[in-house]
Amino acid sequence: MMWLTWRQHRGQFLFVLAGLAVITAVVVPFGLSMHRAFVEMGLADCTAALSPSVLSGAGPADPAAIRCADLADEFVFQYGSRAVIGGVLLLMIPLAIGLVMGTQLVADDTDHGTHRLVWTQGVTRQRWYAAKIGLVCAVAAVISGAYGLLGYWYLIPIARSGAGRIMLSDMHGATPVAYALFAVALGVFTGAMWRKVPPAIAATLFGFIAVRVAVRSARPNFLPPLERTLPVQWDPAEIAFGSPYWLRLNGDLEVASAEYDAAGRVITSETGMRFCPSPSPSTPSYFDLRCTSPDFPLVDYNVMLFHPDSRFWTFQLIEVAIFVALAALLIVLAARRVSRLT
Amino acid sequence: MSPALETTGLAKRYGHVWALRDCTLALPAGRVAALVGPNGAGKSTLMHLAVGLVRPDAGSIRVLGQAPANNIALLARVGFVAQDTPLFRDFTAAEMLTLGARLNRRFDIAYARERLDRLAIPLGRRTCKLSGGQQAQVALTLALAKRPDLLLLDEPVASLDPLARREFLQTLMGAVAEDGTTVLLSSHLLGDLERACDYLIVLHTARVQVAGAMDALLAEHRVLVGPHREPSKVDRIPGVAAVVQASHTEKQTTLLVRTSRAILDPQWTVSEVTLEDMVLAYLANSGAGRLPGPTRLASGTAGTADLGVSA
Repeated sequence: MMWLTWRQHRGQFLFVLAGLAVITAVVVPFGLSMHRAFVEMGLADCTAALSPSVLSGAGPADPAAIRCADLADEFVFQYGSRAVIGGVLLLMIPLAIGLVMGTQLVADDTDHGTHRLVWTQGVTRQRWYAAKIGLVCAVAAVISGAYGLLGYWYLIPIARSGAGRIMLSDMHGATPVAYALFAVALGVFTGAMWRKVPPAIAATLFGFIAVRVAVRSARPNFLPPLERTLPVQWDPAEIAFGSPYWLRLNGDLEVASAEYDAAGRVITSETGMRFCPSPSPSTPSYFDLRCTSPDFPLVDYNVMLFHPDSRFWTFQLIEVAIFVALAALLIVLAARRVSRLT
Repeated sequence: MSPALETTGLAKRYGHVWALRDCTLALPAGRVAALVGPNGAGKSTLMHLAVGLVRPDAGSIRVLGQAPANNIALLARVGFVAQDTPLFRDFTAAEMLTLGARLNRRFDIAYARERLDRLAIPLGRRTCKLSGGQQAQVALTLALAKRPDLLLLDEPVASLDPLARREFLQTLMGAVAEDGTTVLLSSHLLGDLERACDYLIVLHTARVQVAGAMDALLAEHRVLVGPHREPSKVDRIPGVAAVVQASHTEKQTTLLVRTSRAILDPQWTVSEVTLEDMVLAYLANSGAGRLPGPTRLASGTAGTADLGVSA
């Protein structure tokens, strides 16, 4: 069975590996130049030196950290868009694996009538597909795992420059493995439902994107967020780029934020938080217009709901569990469907 | 000897359409049977039921004495060549044989290689690069190498040219003659079947219309040509058991009949029928001349079971 399954799918494996090689050829040079700049700009050192108390805003203003935040802003400005190109390439790998390996697994047989050949030999169709799904899932997991590590390495400079690992969770770490397994399972299921490859590809494409978008938008609710109260008045040096320096560095995922008045009522939750320099600098235009304009009501304090960057692996684990469970469900449904096919 | 394939009141439905109904037949072991019928008559469905690809909605089917559903042990003894002789396109012929060996406990790969060599089919070539006739031979070889007791072939020659068709059937007959394998072969090409087969099953609109030994059926059917007769009186000719088909001109009446004994009436010119004439006569007159073939063959199973379901 092993030889057979390997023989049947090796072309697909090579195809996916070739695609991965092309993506690696794009991502690795980008990543290397990003990492080099990260070190040369001094960001690698200054971000490594940041202490938890600085990142949570607990200590007094730290001039080194303020400089680090400015560097990080400049780094993201320079490399952010490039990083996104590489990240989007990486983002497509699990879907590509599902489309290439998953959709054909059942549908290629039923489309060409070869299921009537293999289902009438000396093994059950269940065993036939169990072997195929086992091998394909193992290969998909290895490939996507390798790419998850590649993505983790690639995104380190961006994540440590303030974007945070949770925000980039789709592109790196353990989730790509779960996405790939889900994509394969979805491909198998849609292939078994439609029994032809082209509609299975279309359904897998749209189904995968829809589920990924849905889970991504639900991600902030995986855990109850932490709450942080932030003052309005700040030393101008601390909020040089519109928000406190440590908030720009710590990689926390902001879930929601709102401004409150002195009576504890929400003024607005739509414009985010208000940070005003105090005393007012000589060139006020750089800061939030609402700080000086009498048209806006006075704000007493800001409240921010967030997930700290340290929750990254917990979030990854939850997302992996969701997608692996969905994959298992789809495989069970596909197996039931296959047992009824003719 | 028990029948190789036996069905009782077998029925299969896809949605609201009956693919097979009231199918009661028994195929004696050792026969090479032709399964004939128009498109949609249920030939493929009968074969799929026999190899357990589908389950019956009513009635029962027994293959080599066993129920075929989920029966891997039985499938080892049954060779099946599905319609269009499917093969993995990117496998070489040799790899297809390896597939057969890996998927079956009993698979005579030496015989299979030798057979393909003898047919001059290049083992190292991908099956999609082989001709239609060669692909059909590879598919047949896969089935034969299981050394099956029953061989089911679903229109294996449909896409072949006449020469390849004849060669395919000749090699098939040669292969099964040695082992006494029972064969059920469906086809539209009646001329080919007459040469190759010794048993006939006609399916029409999901029902069995004719079943019986080929030579007996041909022997008991006759074409009668005589002076014009009223259509209502043609079945009173001595020796005629049933009129299958009648056609009338002003002067002349032509009948295809099933006889019960020799027809001696000098008014009628009696001639033998070809398989094609007989089958076409039955297919054109689905209500008129149904043979109770199964009741005569399988002792004890009288008539066809009434399912009480309307089409």
